Amino acid sequence: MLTDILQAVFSALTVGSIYALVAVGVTLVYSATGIINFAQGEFVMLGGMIMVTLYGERHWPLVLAVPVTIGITAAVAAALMKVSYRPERNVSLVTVLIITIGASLLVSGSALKVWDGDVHRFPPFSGDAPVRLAGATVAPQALWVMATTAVVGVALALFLRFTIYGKAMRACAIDRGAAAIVGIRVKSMVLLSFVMSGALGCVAGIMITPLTMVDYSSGMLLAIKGFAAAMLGGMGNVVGAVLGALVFSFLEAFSVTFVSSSLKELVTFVVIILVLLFMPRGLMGPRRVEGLDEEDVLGH
Amino acid sequence: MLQTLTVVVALAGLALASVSGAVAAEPILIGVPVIFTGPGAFVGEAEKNTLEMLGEALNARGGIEGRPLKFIYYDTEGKPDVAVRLFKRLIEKDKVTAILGPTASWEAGPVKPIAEKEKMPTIMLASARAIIDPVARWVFKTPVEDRIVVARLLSHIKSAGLDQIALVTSQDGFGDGGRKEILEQAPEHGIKVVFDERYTMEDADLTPLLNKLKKTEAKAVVNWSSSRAPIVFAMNYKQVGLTLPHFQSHATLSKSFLDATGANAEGIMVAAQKIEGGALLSDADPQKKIISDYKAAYKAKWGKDANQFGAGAHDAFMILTAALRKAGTDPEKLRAAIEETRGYVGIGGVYTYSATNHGGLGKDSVVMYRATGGGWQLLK
Repeated sequence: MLTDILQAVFSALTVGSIYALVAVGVTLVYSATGIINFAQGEFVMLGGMIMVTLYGERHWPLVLAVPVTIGITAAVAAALMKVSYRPERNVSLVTVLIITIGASLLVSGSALKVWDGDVHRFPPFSGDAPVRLAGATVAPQALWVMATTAVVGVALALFLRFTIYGKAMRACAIDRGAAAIVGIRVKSMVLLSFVMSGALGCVAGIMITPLTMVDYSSGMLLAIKGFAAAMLGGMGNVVGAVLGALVFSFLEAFSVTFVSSSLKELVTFVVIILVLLFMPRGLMGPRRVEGLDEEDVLGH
Repeated sequence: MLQTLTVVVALAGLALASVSGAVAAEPILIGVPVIFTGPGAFVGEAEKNTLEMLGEALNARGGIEGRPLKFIYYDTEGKPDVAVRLFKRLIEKDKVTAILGPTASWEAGPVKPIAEKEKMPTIMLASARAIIDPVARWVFKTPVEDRIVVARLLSHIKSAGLDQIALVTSQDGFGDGGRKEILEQAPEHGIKVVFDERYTMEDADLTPLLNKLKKTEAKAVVNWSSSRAPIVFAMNYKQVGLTLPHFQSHATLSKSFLDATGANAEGIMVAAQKIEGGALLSDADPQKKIISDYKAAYKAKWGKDANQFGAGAHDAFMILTAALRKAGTDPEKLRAAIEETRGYVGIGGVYTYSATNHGGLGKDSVVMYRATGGGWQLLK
């Protein structure tokens, strides 16, 4: 029994960290722009795919492969920002949403051409031999993922709260016009948030590929769980995103252990729907209204 | 003036062409509605490559009774509604003689009644049992169905003395199909399914499920899923320390599965068609030569490895052209000639169609493989 619970906890921490890395990227762009970036999963896919080529196949050293991979992905993210963010055109958020969905399809379609349709993986950083504790096991790569999530989560929360750039980013999310009036260069902030979320997604891809594999279409699968986690935690809140991801993964792992694997989604989503019914802005969402307003949706 | 001249030249060219006889004989049109875009694109590519390769060779030898074969390819996008529309278009507008396709089982279902109604000789490249059960007069298929693969797998499991199995399947069409067949056939083989759980393709960690499985009385584990799912499954299997005999579906029988899974694949067993084995087959195997010839020719022409989907197109091409040679293009005669195929040694197996069997393959078309040292070995 203890083993079961411990195994479920390990599994939940592993999976939760994966969801969290995606959710944090989603929430970061939302913080600065109010845009929900549906292409976030593609950054994860790109990170994994580029690493498969550079590290898995060409055997570049990690210290070289990782920065190059992050650089390429961040550049793609910047390009995405250039096409999707057009405040001067007064495009509604719904339009931007559709643009990011289109971008997501474009990126995964291109990946199919650049690479192939196969599932890929590269070896874990610290081998395959599982770490054992009281009969339960955890893969060493999962520890990497958990550590990365913890570091990224804390660093981002601090960045957004205490640095001038972080504050400027949040100001942009609350009111772009007001932010511009007080001298914040809104466009640069938005670009920064996209580049950071691209880099984050890429780091997620690099960390999780040895566990989850990667193929050209895996971005969307991850993105869906990432969005759900970000919503649950409260859009725009980094700590909330991590918390949401963990709640999500604990629900999944424990329903597999104590109910049934096939009912896992049912249990998980019933709980999530209930949470959102009673706390519409998520577990740690802001109490005041921000982001998608009625007028944003209808387009002024 | 220029226009008139062009017309005259064109007419002269036409006349010249018809004088030269065989070359200008009216081509026999074959419709090929398969998948060229989306996740299944590689399937359509292998099928088209195969048909192009075989068609070119046949036409260079003078075609069928002097008439060249001409393929009309359409992209069904893996969507049933598109497949139905294109299938109708091939019949009504292009007036093809026969159709090879579609590829996906979910496209095959809605297309089947159309082939039957329009009396169109059709050899499908999809594997679902529903294509040939119940038998439709005009519809045949070449790929082996799950039922036969599962029968071979279960008889192997039983003969190894493993009479209690744990079954883990994915919640999608592929997992559903395998699960249904295994649950249906297990009692016939004297095997008890003591654990029956499902998971989804996007699950990143299956250790809680496998931890549960560990406590059952199962003597072997069968996982039926495709794409990344079996890779995650195999890694977690080793991680939680499971050592029971481990069986996977034929979807894992590829080099890319082994590359991605690495040492965790060691010992995994699979029941699948012979094409992957190729060179490993015994010389006494009647299929060995045709399999190695096809794989070598495909690799030489396209620079890629052949796969089972191309193999299905190969066998369909051979069966169809043999029937065309025998019966010509009259639909009723052609259909009867296809149905009279007896003992054709193809890549998918030895095909014998009859009025009641439009699948043509038996359990001997499936062999057992075992992952050993990063490659697949044949099990005796």
